[in-house]
Amino acid sequence: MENLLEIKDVRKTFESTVAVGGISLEIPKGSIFGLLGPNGAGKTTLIRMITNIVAADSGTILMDGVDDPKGRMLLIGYMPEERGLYKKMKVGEQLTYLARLKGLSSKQAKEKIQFWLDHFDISDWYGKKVEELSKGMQQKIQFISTIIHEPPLVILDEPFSGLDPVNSNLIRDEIFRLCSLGSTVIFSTHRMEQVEQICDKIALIHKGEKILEGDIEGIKQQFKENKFSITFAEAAPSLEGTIYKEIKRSEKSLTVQLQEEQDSNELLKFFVEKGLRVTAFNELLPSINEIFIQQVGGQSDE
Amino acid sequence: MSKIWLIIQREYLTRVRKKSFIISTLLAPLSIVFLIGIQIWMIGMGGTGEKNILVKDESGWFTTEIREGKFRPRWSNTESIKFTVSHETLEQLQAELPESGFDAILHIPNKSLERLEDVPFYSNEKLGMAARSLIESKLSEELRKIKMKEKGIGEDVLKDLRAKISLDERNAEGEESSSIIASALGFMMGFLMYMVLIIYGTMVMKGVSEEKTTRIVEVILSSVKPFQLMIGKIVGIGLVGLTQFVIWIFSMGIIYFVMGLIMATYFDPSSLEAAASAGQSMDVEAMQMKMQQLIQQIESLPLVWLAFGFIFYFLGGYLLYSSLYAAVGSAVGEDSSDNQSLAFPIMVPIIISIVGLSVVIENPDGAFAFWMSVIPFTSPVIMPARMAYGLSPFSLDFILSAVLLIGTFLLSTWFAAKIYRVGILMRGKKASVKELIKWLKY
Repeated sequence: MENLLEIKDVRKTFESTVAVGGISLEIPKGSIFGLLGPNGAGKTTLIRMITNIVAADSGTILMDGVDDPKGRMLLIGYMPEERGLYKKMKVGEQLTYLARLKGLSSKQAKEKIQFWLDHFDISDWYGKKVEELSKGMQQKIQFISTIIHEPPLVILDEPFSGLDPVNSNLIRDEIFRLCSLGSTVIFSTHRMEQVEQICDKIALIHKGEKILEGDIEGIKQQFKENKFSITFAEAAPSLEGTIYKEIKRSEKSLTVQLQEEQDSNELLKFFVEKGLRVTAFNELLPSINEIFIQQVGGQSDE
Repeated sequence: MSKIWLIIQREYLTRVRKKSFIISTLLAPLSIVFLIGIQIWMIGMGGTGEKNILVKDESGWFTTEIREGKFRPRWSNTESIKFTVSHETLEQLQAELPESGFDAILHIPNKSLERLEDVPFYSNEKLGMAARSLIESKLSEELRKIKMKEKGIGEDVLKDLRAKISLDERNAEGEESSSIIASALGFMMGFLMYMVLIIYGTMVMKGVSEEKTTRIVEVILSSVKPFQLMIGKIVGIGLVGLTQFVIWIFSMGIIYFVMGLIMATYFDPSSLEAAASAGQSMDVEAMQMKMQQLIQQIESLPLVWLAFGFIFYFLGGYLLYSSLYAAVGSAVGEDSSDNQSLAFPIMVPIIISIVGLSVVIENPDGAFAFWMSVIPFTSPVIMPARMAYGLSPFSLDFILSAVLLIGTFLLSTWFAAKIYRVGILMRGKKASVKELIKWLKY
């Protein structure tokens, strides 16, 4: 797959603190890319370098093969973690202003605003001041302002933080929709539960370094620990005195971790030959959350 | 460039459309008109009005004058005091006063001329200031006439004796100049500058820290460079200030014109003649002269040059200070006490300027005035005042001051931009002067 964004060895140091210490990433066109890491890992600084809010000390960031920080700004829709709008401005004016800063003419801006307000069924908010809206409503406006110029690259920093489940789902659906329309989406999070459902590819960042990168399936395979869960129709048998190591049991099921040389077929055969009725046999892949915690050692900077 | 323009537009329009701006811009000149109007109205209404006063003249000095109707002081066509001589006893008059239709009794005791100082005055109501001074000056005037007659000095001799010198200041080229008007105007301009530097500087600071605390700034910065945002804000708010001045200058012009009309009606020639016939021409004529002189002096000032100077120093001083205020605004977070402690160092030179202004007005060409008007941190307040004293645009002082101001605001803007760019995205760090200096190196 062609890469929309290629980040090569970017670094950023604040005084003596290394915020980002030489990270390289490749983000395929049309993908949903998850940037994971605990708080303070350097995700926001990396994103700010991509959006050209701060300049990298060294390294290059290529978008569509060119390193043009200024031009890139117009092609990115960015929703920062700390969201905010001008409280006293009216929704319509605010969106127009932000759209025009992204290079839209006032006519284009007007059309797009109309489209998006209709899309979310909130056309009657046009003349309302932001401070009159509820938090959830403001987040919708914030999201519209991020994508109003239909950027090829959308970057959402912690998009789900502080969202109620309804808005959370709404944003998730919008991410899928944008992707199906050809946009590439990068989003950062320190919460792993959405990552598995949403992302095609992830990178794990910790203390300014990239720890791993790849597609979700691949990473899971890479970190699998040969664990299998077996469910029986009757009480689970004891494995004492066998070559298999039991790590968990309940009334009718067992979790077994195989050694390097052991084969899963052999395990299944073992139970079948014992005359036990196996109703389910699954490989247990680690969740991204488990990999994450394993990799960063369960510690974060905050 | 077009992005800066968008930012300027937003900063300008959101402020100009605010109710508080419209109110303060329109209300300031209107309230001046209103105050002056009230004052004139009060002089007209709250003065003596028509007062009837009974005179018990035991000395007999004023009886003839009063009978002949010459003893009638007036000062404007609405105020006059009518005197009537009575021969009844003082006790009787006092007893009858409430029903007599007269307002008061003036009792002139039979004393020698030299000893006549306090004259008893009986009335049911307190006498107003205007009426009191009117009566006092009339009595003094009449008394002086009598004394002169006694000493054999004629009216014409007195006229010859009258000496009053006023300095007619001119500059080297012989053009008229007036230090009273100049110092009043100089002080006004300096004070106005002091106010606007603080008001608009604080506005910039608040705008910047508001963007930071509402977190909108990061959204904006994904579209524009921090410097563009800062300059856009500074210019936008500066234009708000200019708009306010233009409206004020125009309305001041209108007020000046309207005031002229009111004055003309108020001191109309017919009332002057009436006053003259009543023997009271002196004061009114003198006042008329004063007014005319004042107008002439104002008109003799290089108003265009002063307006230019004021706007130039407003722009220079504003750019200098507002960029520093922007830097402070970017450095502080939600905590407004931080705001104040960091903004204070910026306030100091502005306060020094306004304190120094009164010294400069005393001696506008001294060494102190020179330094205060050349140092860029004080020159915006001080130089317009010196210009009111007729400092030439081609003088070394002005050129030096202007060049230094331009240079300094370029420098301060550069300096502020460096702090701003770091500070605006900084969270959770306590901003101190030391911290700011560190940011310069980022």
